[in-house]
Amino acid sequence: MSNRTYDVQADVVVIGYGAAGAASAITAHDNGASVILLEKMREGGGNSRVFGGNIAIASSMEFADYLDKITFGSTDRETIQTFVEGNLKLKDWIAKLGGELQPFVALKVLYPATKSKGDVSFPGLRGSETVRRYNLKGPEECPCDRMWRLISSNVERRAIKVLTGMPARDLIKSQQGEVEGVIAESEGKTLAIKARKGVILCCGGFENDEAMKFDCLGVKHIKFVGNPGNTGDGIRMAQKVGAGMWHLNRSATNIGFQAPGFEAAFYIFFSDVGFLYVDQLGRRFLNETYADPYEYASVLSNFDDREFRYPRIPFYAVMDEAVMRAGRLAYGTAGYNKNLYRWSLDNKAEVDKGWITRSRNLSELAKQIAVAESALANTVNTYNSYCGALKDPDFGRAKENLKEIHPPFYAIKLWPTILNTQGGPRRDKEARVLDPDGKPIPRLYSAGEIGSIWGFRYQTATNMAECLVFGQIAGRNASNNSAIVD
Amino acid sequence: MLITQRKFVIDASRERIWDLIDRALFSTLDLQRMSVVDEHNITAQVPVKMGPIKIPMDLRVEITDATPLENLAATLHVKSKGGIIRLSTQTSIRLSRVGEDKTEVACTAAAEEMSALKRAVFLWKVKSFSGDVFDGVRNYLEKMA
Repeated sequence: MSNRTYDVQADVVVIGYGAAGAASAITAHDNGASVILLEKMREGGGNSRVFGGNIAIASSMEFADYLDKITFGSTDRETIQTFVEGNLKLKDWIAKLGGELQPFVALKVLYPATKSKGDVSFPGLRGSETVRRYNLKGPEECPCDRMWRLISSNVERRAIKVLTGMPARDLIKSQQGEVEGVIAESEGKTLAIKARKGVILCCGGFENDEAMKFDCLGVKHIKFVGNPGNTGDGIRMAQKVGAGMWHLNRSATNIGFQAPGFEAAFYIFFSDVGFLYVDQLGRRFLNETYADPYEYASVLSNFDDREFRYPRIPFYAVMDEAVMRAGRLAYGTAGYNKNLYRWSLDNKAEVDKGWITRSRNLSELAKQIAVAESALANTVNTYNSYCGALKDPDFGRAKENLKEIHPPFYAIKLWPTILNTQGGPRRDKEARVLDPDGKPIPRLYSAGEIGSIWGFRYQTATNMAECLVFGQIAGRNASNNSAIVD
Repeated sequence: MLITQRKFVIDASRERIWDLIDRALFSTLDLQRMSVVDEHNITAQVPVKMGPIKIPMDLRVEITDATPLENLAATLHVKSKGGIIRLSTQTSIRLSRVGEDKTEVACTAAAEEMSALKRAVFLWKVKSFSGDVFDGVRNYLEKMA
């Protein structure tokens, strides 16, 4: 025990009120513990309120073989098995909370689309056929809002104490090396909170910390679409008490638009295939209609050492009137901006704002996007000729995705964009945070994106599943500890 | 009430047809101002030919079934500006394997029961619209599969 004086006490203190924090708090409470749930932002939710809305649930333990393969040795088999055991029970747990799942229907109406149409990100691997994606039934337009309503209503129903606008600053370690409390801060005032049984870190990653992103992901100017509160706080707190780290360089990259005046970016999708990407030299550089997050990451992060710049950060999407008419470019039902700005259905408002440029011809377009006209003309004309031949020998765009583009041209500046990071303090199958030698730091747990178990490739919709599974494990284990006696 | 049926065979595997089927349906509909509400509901405007002119109608596509490799079913709710015209059509596109690498595509459209007046005024239009959509799906699949 330390000699510190505390302002408030609870058995379990949970830092971060998203799905992982809620699952931890609910489980700890139901296990008989008193709980304080700290949230940095004015409202809870984090990325759990703005993600795609789906959750991956498996039908058999063979899912562990698949996850073992795609984590590629970066996560121990025991932890993966524990996750799958919990994953198989998720439907029942969600039903106990009052939610009902429905299968997600993967339609190919927006581009870029995933290569595999369906639930599994890496088809053909053993165990891949066991996974399906689901989301919650509910009246809300956005599936993520349905999930948030379910879990937050369960927190409220249990009268769990939630302190919002209260960022945690430090963990308190006793002389015996146990984590026994948290220092939080609000409006210049400090609050020392004792955790008699345990502290659970559920505060997400570092997608809004530029220095950390550059250090860990190795690329500058990566934008994010999720919660601006995710600035690596929990990672720094854990490091200060001796936590080892894992998976810091992992993330799944998409493309997005950073609008002036917005903290988060907008995910961009096209409702028609008549578009192409050009880099700062006016060249295409990948198959625009298929989304491979790892290809995006490696191709966009290409650095030119002679010019000392990223020639593809930012890059431009060039499209014509058909794409503009077909539907809004910004994805409407996910991302932090979904409740802040309603993108116009025909994208005209965004042209008026200057977010999308309009050009009468290629010459004007080249000037607008500061690209050499001859290079741009060559790229567009070559692409159009490929459309006529229904074959793209450069980047293998499927023939059904080849459609000529004609003036007037529209262009939007795009960046590599992520929802979340995956790295942080390493945890074991009991959700205990480990030191660099693999020993648990007593009474410190974690769940969710802060040091997730997804250390190499990512199966879509498993972040939410992990929040809920490890949230329960952390909540149960923390609340099962004996209380620190004064 | 069954209103339109089409059945045709495409020289491609069921996997390939399944991969293309939603794109075939949506590109034939010529959707504009599309918004993906959620994976079960898509709203858009669709131009519907009434005589010599095309009238933009509000469309909501409600996906009712998407069994991989087997069936894509949707209810198309069409509404004119002002809501004077409101129609719903249940559309189903069923796939069956035929031999090694061919797929039979069976398209059906069924409309809600209509009053005599509605039938007199709109049935022909709904029939021709559905027929055009299915013919468009066929053309698309024959070209792209």
